[in-house]
Amino acid sequence: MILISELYDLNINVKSEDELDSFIEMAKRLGFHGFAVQGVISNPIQRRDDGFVLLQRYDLHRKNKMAMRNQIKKIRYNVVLVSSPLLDISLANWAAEENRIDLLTLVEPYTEYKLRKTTAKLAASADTALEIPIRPLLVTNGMARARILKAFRESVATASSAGMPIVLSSHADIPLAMRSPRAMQYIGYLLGMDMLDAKRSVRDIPSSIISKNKEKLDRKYIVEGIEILEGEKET
Amino acid sequence: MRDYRRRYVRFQLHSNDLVDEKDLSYAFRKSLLSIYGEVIVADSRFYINEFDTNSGIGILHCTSDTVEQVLAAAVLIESINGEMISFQPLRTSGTIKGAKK
Repeated sequence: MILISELYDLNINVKSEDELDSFIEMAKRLGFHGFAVQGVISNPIQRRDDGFVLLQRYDLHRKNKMAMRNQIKKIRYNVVLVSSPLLDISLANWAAEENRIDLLTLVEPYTEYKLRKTTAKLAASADTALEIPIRPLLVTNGMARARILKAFRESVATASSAGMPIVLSSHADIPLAMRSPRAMQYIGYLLGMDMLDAKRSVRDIPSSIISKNKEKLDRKYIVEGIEILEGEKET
Repeated sequence: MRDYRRRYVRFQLHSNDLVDEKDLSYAFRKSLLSIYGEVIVADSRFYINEFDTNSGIGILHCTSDTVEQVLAAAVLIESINGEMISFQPLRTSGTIKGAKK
């Protein structure tokens, strides 16, 4: 049973299984109980002997709705998290409303695709979260970082005013690019959140998405609030 | 009487190689300057109170009004002298003794 208080980084960019141990070691030092990766592991949820949890995520990459729908059909029961890139407005609005998509992720070029009010409102009603990768803020500086900061801060403000949940994830491609949950809270502060909202973005919201999706992976689950219950056999 | 409220932050610096205290202090100030500007660097009264190069554990000092900015700037530091680092704030307190608990 995954507890609400457990800490997860929802996107670690692990290239191969050989790299996993170094990321896990770092994540444990930073205080995480688990993280999500794309590929690399074979099951949706993999709990290791030491209790550390690996979660399977899938980043949709198709450029039209039909192809994305087909992609989701194939993978939804095999992954814990589904993310859609925040691209053009029609695709973003569709993804925001789609219940099987958990995250709308800001992607490159960060200054081009921003969260719009309409998308944020749709996402808020479907409980789809805005995922902000912190990696671009670490690898840039000067004007390049200022432009990314502007785009991220605007998206955070739009999401917050619409009531859309926000998630901060590291997108780390090497272990030392990971940041502790508390460190990420300060990046949330930098992006214009107050410290309490930043804390929720790093702790409560990722944990609640995972907890909810774990239930969805159960084949008895139909929709929220409805699941197949087995009755006692009549004698 | 003090004219500002102090904050001491115990932190852990993760890196594959040893990082010198002077280099660390310079990197903190440079990042703070880059993100928040000269006024915050001046107002922050930032300095590193103690730092164990081997364990990577240290305590930094700043004002309570600028602690969020100082820590946000510290978290953004990717590398020092080409050595990748990850800054982890551990505990914030108004006294050194409290930060060490």
